[in-house]
Amino acid sequence: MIRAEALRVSFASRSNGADTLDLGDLTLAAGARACVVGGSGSGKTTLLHVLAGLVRPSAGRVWHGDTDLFALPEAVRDRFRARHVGYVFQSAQLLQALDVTENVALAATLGGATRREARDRAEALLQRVGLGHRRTARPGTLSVGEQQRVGIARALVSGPAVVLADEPTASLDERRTDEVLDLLDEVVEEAGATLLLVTHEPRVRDRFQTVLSLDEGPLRGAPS
Amino acid sequence: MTLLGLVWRNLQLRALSSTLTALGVALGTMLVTAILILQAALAQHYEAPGRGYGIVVGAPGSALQLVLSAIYHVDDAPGLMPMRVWWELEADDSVALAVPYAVGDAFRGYRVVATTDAFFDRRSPQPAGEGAAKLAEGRPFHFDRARLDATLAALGAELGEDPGHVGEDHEDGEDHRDGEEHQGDDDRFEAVVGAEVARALGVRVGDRIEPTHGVEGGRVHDEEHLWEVVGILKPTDTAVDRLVLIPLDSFFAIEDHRGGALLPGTREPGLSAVLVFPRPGVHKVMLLSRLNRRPEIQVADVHEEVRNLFAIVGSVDVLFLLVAILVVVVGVLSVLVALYNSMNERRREVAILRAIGAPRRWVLGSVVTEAMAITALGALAGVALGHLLVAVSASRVEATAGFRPAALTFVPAELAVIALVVVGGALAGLGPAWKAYRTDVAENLRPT
Repeated sequence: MIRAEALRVSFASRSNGADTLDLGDLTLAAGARACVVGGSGSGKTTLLHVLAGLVRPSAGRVWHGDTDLFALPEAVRDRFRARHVGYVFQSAQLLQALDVTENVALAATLGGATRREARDRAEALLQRVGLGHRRTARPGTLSVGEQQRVGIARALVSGPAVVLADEPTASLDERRTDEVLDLLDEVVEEAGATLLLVTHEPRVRDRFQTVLSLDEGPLRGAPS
Repeated sequence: MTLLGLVWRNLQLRALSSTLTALGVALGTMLVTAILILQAALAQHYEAPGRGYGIVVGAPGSALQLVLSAIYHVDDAPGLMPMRVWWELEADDSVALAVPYAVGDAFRGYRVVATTDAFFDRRSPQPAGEGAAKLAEGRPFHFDRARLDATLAALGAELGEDPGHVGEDHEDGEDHRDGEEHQGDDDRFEAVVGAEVARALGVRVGDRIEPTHGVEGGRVHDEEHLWEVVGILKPTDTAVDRLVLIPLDSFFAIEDHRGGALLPGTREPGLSAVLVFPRPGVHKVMLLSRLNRRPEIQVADVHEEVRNLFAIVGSVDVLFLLVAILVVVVGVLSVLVALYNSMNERRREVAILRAIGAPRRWVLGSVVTEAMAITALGALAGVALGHLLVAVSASRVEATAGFRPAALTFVPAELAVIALVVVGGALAGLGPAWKAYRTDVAENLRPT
């Protein structure tokens, strides 16, 4: 389960000195799937950053299960993120220095796996996302869709309880969007993880039963 | 995939930039390594031969010149000293061994030293304080004391007046003036050559060599005076390797040397130097005290002169070393600059690492490790290049400085150099690492 209470994030602003983004409250049960929509600048990505523990809110709290995320020291919070939170980026954001397997295995290593465990898990997941034949390829040689599949494998390699996906299909055509979302649904379900995806695409939003909107102000409690 | 694995992959990704940066470190390390090897070779060359021989006696003049000429064979002797001093030293209770040197000839660029069989005496500390020179092949030359005395006596007779100084009574009580006592073979001229002479000139035992008059080479002696090589010395890594040794009696048997080997303005035969090996204990001090009172000779304390020499050479050495260290520092700073600049391009990479769970300290460690890896590669390459530089320049050094540095000799200080360069790399990496440490994750994860 993931729960956020009265989240507010302050930003430095050139005009006013500081702006505050009111994100409100959020509760997602374990294994839930939800989508956050909102216009540009509504705070979708910031919400994910806060839920991942990357950005400290100026007010409010975030719980992952029983863990108060921002009560943890930063280094512990980093380790927590590596083990319990999977993050899928808009454009896969793979490290160009590493091959496909190494990109996935690095996340597992940071999550506490041994080298062999990390490699085994990475290879199994790459097989699962249909890239077993490209496991030694460099990211630059993959198509955008393939890169995103690697990004999904990386997000799931440590067996996270929560997967946060930040517009994972923004740079894909319709056919690939469906393929990637199907895959994400399947692997998240297989892992029993909670999925929170942000998007501005109606086509993507329509796949979710639970939709939260930041266009109408701060989130309020449990999603409808 | 570990931190080291990521660092290695980053180096591979930026192979050209990493190589060029490491090259800057390598150049400085190469210079430092080469200087350290040369310093060690210089110390070996100048310190080792001086061990054991406390004293060199020669003509009045520069003490350093005397030591350089007699021990290192890189300078002319200051002049001639009376031969009778050698005889006195041989009979002196404070002297364990006295080895006379007469120089003045050369064989195809290599210095010829006329001496006695004392050179091969087991008590001799030559050539490097580790005992007498050992023969790789053949035997020592035959020194004929009787022939020397006979030659000197004959020289005295030829010169007529003031013969008392020529071939006078030795203090060992024997009368060596009587040429009739000479039992040697007048036709036998023998030589022993150093390892380098044998190697460079292809000289073998049994060959006959033809020294020329003058240390730098010059007129050939009478053709009937050929020296037969009877022995070749083992390599010693000292100036002895480049000597041709002949018996003193054969030196004075040459017509050319008879006049030139007399002290100027006298009828007294002279020597270039006598290397003195004092008996242990207070004998060295006693000898110095006694010999220093004699105006016709000069006494040089070998250790003192070597210390003086190193005081001169050492300061130049330090200057070279400082310049080389500066080059290393510039190389290490280039690591800082290269990594610091690359951090602008790598902010997104750092943000991704942080987003997938890498703690700030892990990111900091990866950048510092990368800096250390670049400097370590540079340092190792530099050490290898330093040895290569010495190997390439060994002949040149030998031709100009008189000693051949061994390129494969590993100086312990090289390990310290590698360690210091890597530590320098770590310090240089702290700047860019701090930049990575402070990277704003949210800002750099936003889509471009």
